Amino acid sequence: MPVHLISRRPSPTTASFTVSNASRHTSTTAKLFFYFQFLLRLIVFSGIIFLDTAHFRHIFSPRNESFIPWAAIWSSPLGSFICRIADTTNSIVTALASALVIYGVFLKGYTEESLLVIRGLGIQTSTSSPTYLSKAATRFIPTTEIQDIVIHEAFKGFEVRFYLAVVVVGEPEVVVVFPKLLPNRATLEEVWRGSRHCLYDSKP
Amino acid sequence: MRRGVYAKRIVYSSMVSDFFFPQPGGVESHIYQLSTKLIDRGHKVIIITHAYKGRTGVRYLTNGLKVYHVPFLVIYRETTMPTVFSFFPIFRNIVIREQIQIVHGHQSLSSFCHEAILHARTMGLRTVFTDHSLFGFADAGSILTNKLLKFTLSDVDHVICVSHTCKENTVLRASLDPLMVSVIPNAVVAENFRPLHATPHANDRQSGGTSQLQHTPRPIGPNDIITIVVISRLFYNKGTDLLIASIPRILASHPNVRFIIAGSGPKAIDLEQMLERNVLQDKVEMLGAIRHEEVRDVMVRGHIYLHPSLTEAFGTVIVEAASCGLYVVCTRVGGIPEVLPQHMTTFAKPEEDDIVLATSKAISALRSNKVRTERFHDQVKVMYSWTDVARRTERVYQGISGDISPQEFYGYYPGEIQEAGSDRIRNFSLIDRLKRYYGCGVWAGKLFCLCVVIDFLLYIFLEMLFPRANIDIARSWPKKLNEASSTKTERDRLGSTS
Amino acid sequence: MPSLPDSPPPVPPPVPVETHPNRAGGLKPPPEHRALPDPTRLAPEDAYYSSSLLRGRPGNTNYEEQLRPLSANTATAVSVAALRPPPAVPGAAARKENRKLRGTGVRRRRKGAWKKLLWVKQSYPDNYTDTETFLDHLQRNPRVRPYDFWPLMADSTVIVQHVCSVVIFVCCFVGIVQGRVSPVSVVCWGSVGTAFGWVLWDWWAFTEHAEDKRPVERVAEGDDGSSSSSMTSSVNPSNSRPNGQRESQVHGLGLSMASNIPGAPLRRRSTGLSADSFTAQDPASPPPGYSNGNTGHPQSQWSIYQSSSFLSRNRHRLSTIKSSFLIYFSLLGLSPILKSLTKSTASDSIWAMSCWLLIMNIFSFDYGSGEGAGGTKFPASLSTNAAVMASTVLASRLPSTTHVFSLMLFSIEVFGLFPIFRRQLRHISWTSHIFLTLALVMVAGGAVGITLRGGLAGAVVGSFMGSILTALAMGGCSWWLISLQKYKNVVSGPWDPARPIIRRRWD
Repeated sequence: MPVHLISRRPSPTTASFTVSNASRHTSTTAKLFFYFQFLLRLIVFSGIIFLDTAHFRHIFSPRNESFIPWAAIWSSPLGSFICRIADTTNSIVTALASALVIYGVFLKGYTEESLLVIRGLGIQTSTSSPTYLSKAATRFIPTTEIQDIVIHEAFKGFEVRFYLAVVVVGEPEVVVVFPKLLPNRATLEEVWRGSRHCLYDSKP
Repeated sequence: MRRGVYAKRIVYSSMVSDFFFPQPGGVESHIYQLSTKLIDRGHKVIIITHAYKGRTGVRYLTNGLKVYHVPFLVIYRETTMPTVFSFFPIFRNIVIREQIQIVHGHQSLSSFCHEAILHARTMGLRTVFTDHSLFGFADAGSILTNKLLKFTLSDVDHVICVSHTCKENTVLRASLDPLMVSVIPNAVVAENFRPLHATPHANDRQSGGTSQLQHTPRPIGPNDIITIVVISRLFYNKGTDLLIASIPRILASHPNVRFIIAGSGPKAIDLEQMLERNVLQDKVEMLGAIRHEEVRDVMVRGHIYLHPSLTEAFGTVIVEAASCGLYVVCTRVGGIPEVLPQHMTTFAKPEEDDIVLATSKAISALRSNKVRTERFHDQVKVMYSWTDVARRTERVYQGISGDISPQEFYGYYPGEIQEAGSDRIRNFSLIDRLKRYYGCGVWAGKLFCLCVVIDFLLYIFLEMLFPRANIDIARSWPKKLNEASSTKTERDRLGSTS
Repeated sequence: MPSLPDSPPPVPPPVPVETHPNRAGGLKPPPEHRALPDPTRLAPEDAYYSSSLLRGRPGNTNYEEQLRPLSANTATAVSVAALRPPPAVPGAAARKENRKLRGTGVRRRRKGAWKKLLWVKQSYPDNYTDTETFLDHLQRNPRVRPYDFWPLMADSTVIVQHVCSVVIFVCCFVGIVQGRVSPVSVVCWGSVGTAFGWVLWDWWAFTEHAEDKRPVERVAEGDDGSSSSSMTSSVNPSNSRPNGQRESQVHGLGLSMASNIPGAPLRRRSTGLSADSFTAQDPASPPPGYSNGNTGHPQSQWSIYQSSSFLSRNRHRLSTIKSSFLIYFSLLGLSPILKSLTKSTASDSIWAMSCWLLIMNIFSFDYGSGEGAGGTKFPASLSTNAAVMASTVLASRLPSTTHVFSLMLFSIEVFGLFPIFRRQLRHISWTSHIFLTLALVMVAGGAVGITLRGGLAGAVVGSFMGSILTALAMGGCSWWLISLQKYKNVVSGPWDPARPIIRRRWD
């Protein structure tokens, strides 16, 4: 998935750079695909919940008549089919499989990392969480602690990659911006120029 | 010479060796000095070495020299684990992102360098290898090293040796065509090895030598103390046994002689025992290990430099000593006889008696003021400079990358068969490479071929897995001078001033 | 200063330096030597045309003839080094290559002679290869010493002796374990033999003392031949030749030391033995013979010397007896401990371990003539320690303390004292050395025969078979070693680390 950069300047003293490898949904097919994906996730989620309920239906007391007609559901063709699957499988396997599938349903499938620069205040880096359930990890660095913003190279896996880093006063290690996506040099240079321009109002 | 006719192309080269700063040593400083001088000549040079403690990743040194400290497992004396292929992915990445054209490996004990040359040939790059040391043919360790060297050098484009003896050795060890081996000596930074009485600033010398005349050292009288300096690691190979045997005899026959010995090593205990047994502590000063920056300060305290080494490819230290204005007494081993002119040295056989004799001769020569040691510095400066080394290395680069025609580079011989000459220009096709490797030995040849084939497959695999297009091209270090106006003369000027 | 101040002083013109005169002798070879075909030298093109090299080595000529010039050259290594290689024997490619290289040499010489120097700026390219000087100092098989069959056989008797004594020891152990032989009788015979050997030794020492008056005085004059023998023997290629010990003074330095100061090795050995067997002997101990004060009275007259040496010899005898009693009693005290030391170990492990230890003993044994520091890489104590360890391990399989004591004493006699006696015997008399070898072989064969079959017939058959097999093995191995010599190809040149020659130790 190609990494793309969205830079915004809401005000003259603020700049936001977002790097993401999500698709942009510009065309109609992409939009349709997105909605279809959403629907699919919904169906899979409800299906797995249904399966789990079927698996544990004996624990629920069938005799007290709740407002859901359980007996009718289990006797329906779909219900009996699900019951048969649920009965054949081990409960531990079911639990594991359903946990995995639920995690997969909530998985984002893309990473979005951003850098927000506010002059006089500081910069905030954020890295999106892998699932929809948790929040993005953010870090705010006040202007007084920023020593410099640099682009450097480092070994990562079998490669040498460029990275944008904030040198923080008093910390032995630099704070890497966009640590997961590590966009290419051209993108990094654009962000670097923009953020320095915004932070120090210097001509890049 | 027709050299100036060529429009000089910038060469992107990378030096690969296990040995580099922060570790001190001769190979390390050779690589550094050569790289900076090549950069001064307008080329782009990077250095690839393994990670040292506290030094991993990409670093820049003075002059925009970029150093890749690749994280790798170090097994013995700063040599990396010889895994033939594991270095390839990262090496390929570095080579592509730095647009390297020539890979230049250093030192035959560096497995990093051998791997890099193999991979570079697989990737279709020109390769150069510099040998800094001499190896025998007898013991098991050198047999193994020689086989490995043969493997690497059977497909190398050119080899550089630091002395003619080293060339003979390398040609024999790797079965090379002698014309593919150039001799380019080491050099010294003469500015760092100035005699005590020389003018402190280089500019003064240009303006006028009057100040130098005032500082000319007082001639040595018959009863003045003569100090003999020895700076070497105290190993068997450095001839410490000879030193231990000859010091008491020299001191016994010459009462006004003092020794300064710097360096450490396993033989230091023997040396100290000898001093204690003969009660020579007041005449011999032991300094222990010193840093390379301090070498000059120790050298200028003496008059004679004694170098009893048993084997030496070049012996940079005797050039440094001569540059400091010391008269050199050294053993006639390895490449040492080629290094300095006769009026600067007294040669001895590697025998105790002969060393004593040679040292006595040197002492009497100094006492009779026959030796003009104050001129040594300027003479050495003319003989050895890194700028010159870089210029000659550049010619090798141009020769192998085709900027100089092979006729001129290897010499044109009317009676020559086409076959012999064409083999020197090593083409990259796999089958030709395999032919070269196959000749390495009955079993070794097949093993090497296997290695090369695997390397080639790995290369194809890497090309698919990490496509070239996805690798960012690194920016070059910004040059202060504009490239367009840099003529050859200006480059030379640049090289000599910095 | 006469030179111009603003220009660096001129470097004097390069003097043609003879590189490595210690190898080339600094002599230009006479021209007629150049024409001599010398198969032992490499031409430059040999380095990269291995085919021409192979063809250049005459494979059909007799090996002896090939070696003869070699051995002749070792004496005059100087002239060998200076010899120019003629072109290797034919091969079209090689010849063409050769002509090409010669041609360049002629062409280049017009520009001014190339010099093998680094400090001169020369008008030649860096990769210029000078055919005249390239690989000039290369030597092939410079120090090779061709082996002859009979001397090799003679030398191998030392190994045979040691292997036989190990075999005898093992057979004695087997006999003791199986109850065929009484341990006390074994150790008694052994002790009688040891005592006899010692008496013999003492007598030798006495007679040689009287004989070698002159060499002793030579030592007394301050020529420290014995201490430098450790240095010179490494230079001297043919030191371990056993049959020429007295006649030729070439190997004399090392050997005369043993015979000069007979008390010294004796004392060192008698005390060094206890060190060998019970504590680890320091392998780096200084050469023997100086601590006993023999050099203390050199300048005196012969009579004084004689009387004092007589006294010192008596003192030595006393100390030898003292130390032998020390060994005896300490062994007696230790044997109960030694018996139970490895009792808990399974028998399989004991057999395997003792086997390995005895093999280690055989392989690390110092078969040299006893002089020369560079004889073996192993410390001399390794072999003895391995053997004593093996007998200690074996002792735990024996039923009683008496058995253990006997075995241990016997092992010390066999592995500690007997080698010293054998070595001395070899120096003293060559024929008795041969007889001892024969006897050992027959005894060992007989012992093996008894162990395997039992009875007198077994002993006779065993000693007969053993002798024949040993002779065959010796001959076969010697012949094999000689036939392997033609694969020897030692290339040496100025790149090899020089061997330092140190006259004396300053200690």
